[in-house]
Amino acid sequence: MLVDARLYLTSYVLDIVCLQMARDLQCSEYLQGLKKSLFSVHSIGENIKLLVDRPDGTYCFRLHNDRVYYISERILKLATNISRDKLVSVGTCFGKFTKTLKFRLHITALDFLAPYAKFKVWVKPGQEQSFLYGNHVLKSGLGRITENTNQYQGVVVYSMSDVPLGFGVAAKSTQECRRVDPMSIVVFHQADIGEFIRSEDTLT
Amino acid sequence: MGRKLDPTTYVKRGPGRKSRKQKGAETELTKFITEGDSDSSYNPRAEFIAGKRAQVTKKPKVTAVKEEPNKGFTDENSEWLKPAKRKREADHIDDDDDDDSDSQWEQEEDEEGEGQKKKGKRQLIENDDDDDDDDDDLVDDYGASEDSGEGEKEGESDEELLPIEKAAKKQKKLQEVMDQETDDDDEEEEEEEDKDGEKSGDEDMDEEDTVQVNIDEMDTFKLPKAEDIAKEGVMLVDLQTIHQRIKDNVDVLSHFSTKREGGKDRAEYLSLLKKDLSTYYSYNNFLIDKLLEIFPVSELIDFLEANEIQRPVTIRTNTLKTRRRDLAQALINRGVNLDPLGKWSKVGLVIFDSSVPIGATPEYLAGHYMLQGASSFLPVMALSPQEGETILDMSSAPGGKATYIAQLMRNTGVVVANDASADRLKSVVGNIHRLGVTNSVVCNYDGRQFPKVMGGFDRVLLDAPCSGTGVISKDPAVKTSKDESDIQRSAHLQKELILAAIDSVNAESPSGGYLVYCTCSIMVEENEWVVDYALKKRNVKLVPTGLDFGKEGFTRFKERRFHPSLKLSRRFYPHSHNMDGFFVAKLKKFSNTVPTTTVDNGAVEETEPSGDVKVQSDSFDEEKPFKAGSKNKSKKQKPDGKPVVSQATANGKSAKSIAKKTQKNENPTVPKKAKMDNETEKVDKEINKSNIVKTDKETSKEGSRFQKKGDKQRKSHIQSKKRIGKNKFNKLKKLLKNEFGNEHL
Repeated sequence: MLVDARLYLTSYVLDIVCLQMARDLQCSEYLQGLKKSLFSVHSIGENIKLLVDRPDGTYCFRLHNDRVYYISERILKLATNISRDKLVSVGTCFGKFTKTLKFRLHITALDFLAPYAKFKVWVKPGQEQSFLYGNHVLKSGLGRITENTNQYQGVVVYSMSDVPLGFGVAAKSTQECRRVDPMSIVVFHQADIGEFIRSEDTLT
Repeated sequence: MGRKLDPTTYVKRGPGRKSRKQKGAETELTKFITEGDSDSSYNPRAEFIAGKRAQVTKKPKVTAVKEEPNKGFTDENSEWLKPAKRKREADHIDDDDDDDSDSQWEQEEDEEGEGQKKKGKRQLIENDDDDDDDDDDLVDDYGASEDSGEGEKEGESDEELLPIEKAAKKQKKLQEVMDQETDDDDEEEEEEEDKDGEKSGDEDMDEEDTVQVNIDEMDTFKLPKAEDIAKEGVMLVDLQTIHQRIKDNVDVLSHFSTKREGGKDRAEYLSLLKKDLSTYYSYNNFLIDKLLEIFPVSELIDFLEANEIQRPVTIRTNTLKTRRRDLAQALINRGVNLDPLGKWSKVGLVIFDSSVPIGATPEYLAGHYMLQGASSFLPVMALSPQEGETILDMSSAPGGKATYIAQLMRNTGVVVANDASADRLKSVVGNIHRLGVTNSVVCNYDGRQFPKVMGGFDRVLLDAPCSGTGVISKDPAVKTSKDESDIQRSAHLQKELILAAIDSVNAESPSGGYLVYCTCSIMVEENEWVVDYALKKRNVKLVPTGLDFGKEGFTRFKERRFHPSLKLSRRFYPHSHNMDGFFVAKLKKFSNTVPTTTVDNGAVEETEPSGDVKVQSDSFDEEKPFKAGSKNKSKKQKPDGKPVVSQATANGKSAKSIAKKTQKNENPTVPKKAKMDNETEKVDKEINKSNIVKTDKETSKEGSRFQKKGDKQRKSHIQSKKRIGKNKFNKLKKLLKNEFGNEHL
């Protein structure tokens, strides 16, 4: 059942993205990566529909210069006036495809991932800064974690005051987290908001 | 305490609070007691001391008597109301003197001869022998202003002394005064110098007469001679002296008629001031000249001082993610000292100090606020974007204003953030994503190309690149690096940009049709002149900015006269508003059509031009392509370089050169059309006109009357020689007519 739903949604998105491909490339290769990161890992697959059909208009994903942008159709129309080499950014950048066509989610997608995240991790105030510098989350810094988190599940990292700090991948399932020693990694760091300062250049 | 109605009833007062602290207070106390009603307890020592005192008290009484005629009160109370007595000379000054003197200062303020008093008081407490007088004086000091009845006591004691004793006292007194004269003089001079310092600020001529000591140096500020200046150029001059000289110079200039040195005119003072200002504040001469043109001298000093210190750090709350109240609370919890920015802003906060780096707090990273100068709030507030509109920000890096616009629109509509520099666009993208703006498009065009790329915006914001003379506190390099050519270049670019911006606005927009032009500069060439230029070239008008504070823009400056509506624009200065220097003007476009020029009129006659007429027309045509050029702005851009140039250069400089080139290259008599477009065709046609040249000249002159010629437009000496004066031309025409008429005949 679950598998069916995911497939349905994947194909739904596939259709949309295919239609908007700005470059003439093998759709499937791109979408493999997209699928993997957005749907399997972070499993917001079910909520993609919510992202696309919004009350204030239809939004879409558009590929431009190896990056995936999330914009409303109205802006898309306006942006077509601008020539491709002069266009720097449209709407929100979700992530980019690497040279080997793996899709890497950027921190800029956090605002959209966070509300739909099913698995969350809360970090203690002391470890907050460490995570913001790009380090992994250790057991000693773990405040809370959602139940039934599987291993290698995509999670969104929050501070204790419910401010989203970034996302990552759970290194251990919830059960294991309880047993393991304080110095072991529980969440692999993928992206954090400190990157706005650290790697401002790579956002474009 | 109050005045006793009956002066005869006298109640002895004990020593005051301070005197009780003094040494020998007990002895004084005993003196009181022995003099008055005798106590039951018999103290031989006290009696002995009292006796001794009685001998010595006679001496100062003489001086007191001597002074009384000088200083006594002149009204009927002079008998019993004695001013505080001058004390005899001190052998040495105790620590207690300071207390005394201080306390006595307050009470003696209204009495004359403060210096003398001070000296007197200083010698108050020394020997036990003098205690008697001390007591009296002490009593007098504390009681004189409050309880006039005290004076009576002295009066009584005076009468006790025999005339011979008074004389002896006087003698002794005089001697001691002589010794002490040097000390006195010092004191008096000090006091007078203090007075000097206060009074040279006012120019109370009366008081100046009384304090002659150091007046010369302060009052007449002498200009240093040429040799001195030359010397200074070689040696390193003390900054303090320069600073003092600046202050004095400004003072003289403010009250020139009264304070000037005879024979020296204002220009000399000004030139010295300029030199000193350049040295002291490290500006180059050009900038100082420019600033002197804008500000009066006293305000200039404030401005320069304000540029030396940083403006306070301000942040703007991102209302898309949080509220100002919550943000302030969160930051205070982190240890930041802040305050709301002012009544005029609901999202601004000013940071006084902070224990954490403001640009790296988790709130900053989460996009709850943005570091932005207070002056940058103003143009967006003036623009006041509405929800659902299409807005263009032509020069948006680093993205503060663009994100503010998006925030005000609540992520509806579209914001196009453009910047000509690709590097700086990265910060725009970063800020947009960090602050959670979703309705933006970021592109990398030169602003001047914009009407071609996309038009029909509801509102446009143009924060034009400028010389940066308003943000000297952020970038001190501006002080020395800016030049006349820099300003001209900036002004030129700004004119092009503002025209492009106006062309991008849709005048028929239901909710908008506005353009806000702003710069972070205080130069008139970059601000009012550019707006005035736009008013002439396009169908726009100035409207109120909606900012109720700030200085009004200039409507005239030196020899230039601007449109009177320029006073709706606003200027902000660091020294008066505590924000970076800024200029904001809001324009409304009321018609989408581009106004045509006035010169191209009348029939074109293909007559053979005479040499003179042709020469005339050459010179006249220089103005025409300038106006004709504007017509072509809306036309399609040709791949040929020249038309582009003519479009781009708004003040017609290269248009002029095009016209000249076409005239030189082609034979004017043969109207072979160049590969150019209509513009140069017109030029060729106009060359051949003869009759219409005169009218053209007139109309062009009319047009030029309202158009301020830029420096580039002014004809060089060689060019101007080509023109014949009006009268001469008329004469020539008559001549020709006569000749022609004769020929016919």
